[in-house]
Amino acid sequence: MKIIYLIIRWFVKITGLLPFFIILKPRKMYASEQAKKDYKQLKNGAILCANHTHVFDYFVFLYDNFFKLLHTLVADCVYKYFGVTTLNNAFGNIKVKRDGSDNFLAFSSIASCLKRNGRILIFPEGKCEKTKGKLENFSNSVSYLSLNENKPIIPIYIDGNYGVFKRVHFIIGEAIYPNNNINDISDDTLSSYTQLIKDKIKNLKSKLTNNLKYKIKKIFTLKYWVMDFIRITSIPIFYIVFITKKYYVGNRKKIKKALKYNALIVGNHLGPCDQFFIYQHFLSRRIKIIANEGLFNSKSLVFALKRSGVIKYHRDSMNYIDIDAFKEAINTLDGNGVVGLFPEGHINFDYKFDDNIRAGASMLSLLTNSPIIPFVFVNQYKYWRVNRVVLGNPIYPKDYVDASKPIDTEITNKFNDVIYEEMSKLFTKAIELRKKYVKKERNIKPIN
Amino acid sequence: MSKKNEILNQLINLLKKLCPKQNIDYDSIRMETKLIEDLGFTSIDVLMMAIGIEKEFDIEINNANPSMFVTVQNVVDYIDGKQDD
Repeated sequence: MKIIYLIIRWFVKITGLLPFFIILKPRKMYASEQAKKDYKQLKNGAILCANHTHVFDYFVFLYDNFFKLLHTLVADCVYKYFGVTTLNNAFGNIKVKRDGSDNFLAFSSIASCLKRNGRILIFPEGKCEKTKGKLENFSNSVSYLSLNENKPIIPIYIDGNYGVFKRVHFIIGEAIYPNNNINDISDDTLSSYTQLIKDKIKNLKSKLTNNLKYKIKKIFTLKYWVMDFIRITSIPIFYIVFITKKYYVGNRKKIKKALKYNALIVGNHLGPCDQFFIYQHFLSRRIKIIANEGLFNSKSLVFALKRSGVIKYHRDSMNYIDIDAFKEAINTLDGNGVVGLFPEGHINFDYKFDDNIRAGASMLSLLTNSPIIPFVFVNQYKYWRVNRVVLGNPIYPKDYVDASKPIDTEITNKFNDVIYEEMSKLFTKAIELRKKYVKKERNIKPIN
Repeated sequence: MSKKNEILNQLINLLKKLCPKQNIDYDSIRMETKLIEDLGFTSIDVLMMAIGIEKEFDIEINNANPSMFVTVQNVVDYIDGKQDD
């Protein structure tokens, strides 16, 4: 019988490949580098926990685990259709009673699968969502299985965007490991663990929405065509006319790794065209720079600025805190985008680094868990000259801040001091380079 | 207790958590208290408060204007207005 099931399984998988890629066309995303690692290293078994939008959800995950056996919990009402029982048995799926009664056999099958380091797919809502995007109540069974069998849960959010000219997206989050210190699995423990899983899936939903909204595709998108046009077409001009030499204080590979997901590029502000030079130095990603609202007063620049994804920020008055701009930056980072900003808040024409940098970068980094990539211009960019920039190691907030504590302004200001220290080191290096290479020296104040 | 007083108490607890400052007596905060002039809030404190308000009261702060967060009364009225929508 096992051989027959094996033949059925592979026959269905192979024949279904073409319709799968034509009709479903799923796009997989990871919430972070850690989420990618957790998902790819599921050797000791795990429970995949996803919301349920449509019957096609099963096929999306089935084909994502093409070479592996994915045991899915399937409601008993589905088994009434002809041939479904055989197909489900062939795919190793487990029948459960939707009303939750008498699932002892099902749970023991699941437990034995997990003990054999298998993968289980559970839709804890138990049925398709009535309103797409609005999560239904989660059953505690997924928490019970995770705690009882001591297996991690991989939260996944799928948007259910099925249709002829549509594309379904799903995002995989970081694994949730059960607390080994729990001896007695009570209802309260299960409920709180279930709520944690539901909250993680809700966060994944907002991450996916922001990811799609802020268009973080690498090469070209119509929404930000000006930025993409500048980046692509000015490459040869840039590297011939503005010859650049990069100095790395640290490891170049770490910067490349940090730029794969969300990141904050933080630099000193020497001239009005700094943002364009930042675009060229980080070509692999589309960067949304936070710029002063005053720039938008220039009619000639407004067209380009709006289509470059520049975030307009009103920075002049203490009585007007630009929450909308801040939230746009948070949403961009939440969607694994890259944001660039100048924490000094103004151009420093006389080449000094402000003692008090604003804590906006610190706050954005802490709230979205984005690494900060420090970047210093050694000189104002000049054509037909060698221009120098200094890049530092990414600063990860988790290395300086206790992730279990809630973020407040005190922690934000302390992290801001860390950023200032790192920028100061790069600035000191930049000053050395200036003294060595720049002929006309301006008065440079050393940083205390 | 009126709805606005409840919002005020929740807001004060939120400020204690998110914007801890040793020189502020949070229990003496009233509706007339000005965030920047009386409490000495910086832009970071106001932003942190705004992010916290969105999560705590399950509302969305958008189209912010200069008069929105001058006094505690402004903040409470804004939250009350958003919750009624």
